[in-house]
Amino acid sequence: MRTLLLQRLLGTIPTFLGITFIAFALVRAAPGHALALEGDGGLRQGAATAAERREYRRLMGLDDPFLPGYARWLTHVVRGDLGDSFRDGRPVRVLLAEALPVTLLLSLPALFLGYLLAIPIGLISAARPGGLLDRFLSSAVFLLYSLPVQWVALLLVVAASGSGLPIQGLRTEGVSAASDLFAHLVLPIACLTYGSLAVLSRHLRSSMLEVMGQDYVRTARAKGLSETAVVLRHALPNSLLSMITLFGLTFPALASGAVIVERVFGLPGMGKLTFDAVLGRDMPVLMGAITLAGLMTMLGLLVSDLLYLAADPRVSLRGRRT
Amino acid sequence: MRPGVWKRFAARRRNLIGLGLSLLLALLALFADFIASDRPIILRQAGTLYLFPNLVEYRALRGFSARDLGRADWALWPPLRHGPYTIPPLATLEGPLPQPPSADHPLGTDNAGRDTLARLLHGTRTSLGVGCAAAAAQVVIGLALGVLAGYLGGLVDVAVTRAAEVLLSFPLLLLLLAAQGILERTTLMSTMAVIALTRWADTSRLVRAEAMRVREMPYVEASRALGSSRLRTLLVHVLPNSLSPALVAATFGVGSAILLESALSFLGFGAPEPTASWGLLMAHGFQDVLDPNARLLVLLPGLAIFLAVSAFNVIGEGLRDALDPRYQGAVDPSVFITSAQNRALSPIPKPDGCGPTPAA
Repeated sequence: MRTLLLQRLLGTIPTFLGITFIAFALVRAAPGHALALEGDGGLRQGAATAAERREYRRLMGLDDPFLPGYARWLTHVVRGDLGDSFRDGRPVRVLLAEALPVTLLLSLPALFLGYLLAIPIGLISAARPGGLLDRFLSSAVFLLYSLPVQWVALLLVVAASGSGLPIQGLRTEGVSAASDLFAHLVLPIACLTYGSLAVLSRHLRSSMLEVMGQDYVRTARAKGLSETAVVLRHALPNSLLSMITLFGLTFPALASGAVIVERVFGLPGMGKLTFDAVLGRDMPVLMGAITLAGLMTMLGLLVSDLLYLAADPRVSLRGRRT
Repeated sequence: MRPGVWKRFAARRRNLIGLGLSLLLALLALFADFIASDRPIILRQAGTLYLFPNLVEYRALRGFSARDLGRADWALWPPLRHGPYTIPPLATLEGPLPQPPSADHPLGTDNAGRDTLARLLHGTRTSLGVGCAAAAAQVVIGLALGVLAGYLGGLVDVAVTRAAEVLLSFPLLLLLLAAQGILERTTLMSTMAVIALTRWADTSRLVRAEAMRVREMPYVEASRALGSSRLRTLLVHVLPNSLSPALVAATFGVGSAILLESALSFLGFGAPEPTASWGLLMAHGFQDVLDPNARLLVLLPGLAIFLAVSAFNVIGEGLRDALDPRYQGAVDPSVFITSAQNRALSPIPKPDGCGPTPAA
């Protein structure tokens, strides 16, 4: 068990290197140095001057040969030093720390709701596979895959524009009640939920159907349990087990969706931070945001793996054998 | 292709509807200039016959407009006499932009006064073009790397698998946005390229698994025993037999590339202005989202994206089921026991393939 854990932890190191490598390579590949150096930042107060930008490039190894430059940048990143924003001079670390909670506030509830709604759908489908209701639900869920997020978001905005529901920002100015925050989050979370629901319910269905064919389900039936008890007590928990691994994999999809949702609803999360950094050619922020996004996903994968390890004793056995 | 694949594919009505829809969209994309253009299909002016002025720029016709037609001249016009790029002169405008539907503009205009229907029709070309090109490119990359990794194993396998894992662990849209953002300006070509370069990992994973299975087949062993080189075995036996997951991945890839292109264009980092693109059209709708006249600009492109992506996803799923002989007589519940394999082939969710599974 411990070796497996260690193995898994060590396994994240190459992934970490890969993620940071891509972030570094992307920013380094940015053409038009002069343009990126001068930019329009000089017009804003607190924005980096050309000299500061040059200093940043030198410090972060952007002007060094590729590999030494990467190593140099990496030593900064590992120490948590991501430089200051070109736009307003604030440390990138602080900007990221402000933006990340907003995105988590959107994506974690969406993930949770996705799981919650997927369970009834999975149950209904597994109760009578191939039945009318199952066929209807699976087709409906399948179509969810094809919905563009920006469409759903904009339709929700249009639909809500008549009602009292807020469609911009995180809070009403001067109001600090939790209910206000909640009202601002309803639509964005709804936008993100349907995506995770599509992934999760489809999986729960196939996992339920797989489990229903297992020997222990036959045993449970054979000893005279009612079908409800078989499904709820034997099949469902075992299917949910395999759903744990999906937790880490749904996360990147949610973060992707958050880019659009945050743009449409004007929320100051990671997506908006990245978007603004791209618009303003704010290289330090851009590099920091990509690195953090990759790391978060890696962390999500790791956590879901560890959860799975904790929940299913068979995994460690299998691990020892190989 | 194995016999019976088409039969199994056609057995489901849903698959045929998807196929029909995608063919219809392809026709619209190909013939967009014959349906919506501000220049005639055939024109006879001042004694000269011009063929397809809607496709070819004739020097003599520069600045041509319908009012220039003399008495002996005639023209065959497309049904919709607006091109996707025609911005009407300010003087001719009545009322604020975007305009609501009218006899002249059946679906209204966007906020530059361009005809919405024409832009939607020509947007089919952009979406399908970028979608198919990106899918083709990502499958070629994924197929090559996946077959090599699965067949050769060892270091190559580790490198490819690791690279794929890193790519799959980024939030895709963030990565694409960053990649497009560092370019001086984005083009359709760059949009296609960044999608292909980030999406090949899906294909390579599926192909790798298939190649590993094929590698152990008796016919591969036989080929080696008969003295073929590794390269020959790879090209003649392993590659063709690993094609079916790539085919499925390609179909799903078109759908996902269309979605990504529209999302990037919506954000302003995909198709450049003034390209007719569904995502850009929605961005225009977003600018005036509270204006009732702009609602069609939001509603229609989104619907078009939804239909196109659904069509390709349905085909992809149908194709996967048809290519996989385990699916014969699909309603028999016992086939669902193989859903573990089925999941390894499934498009978006990746429970066991992509992520490092606990046992790995």
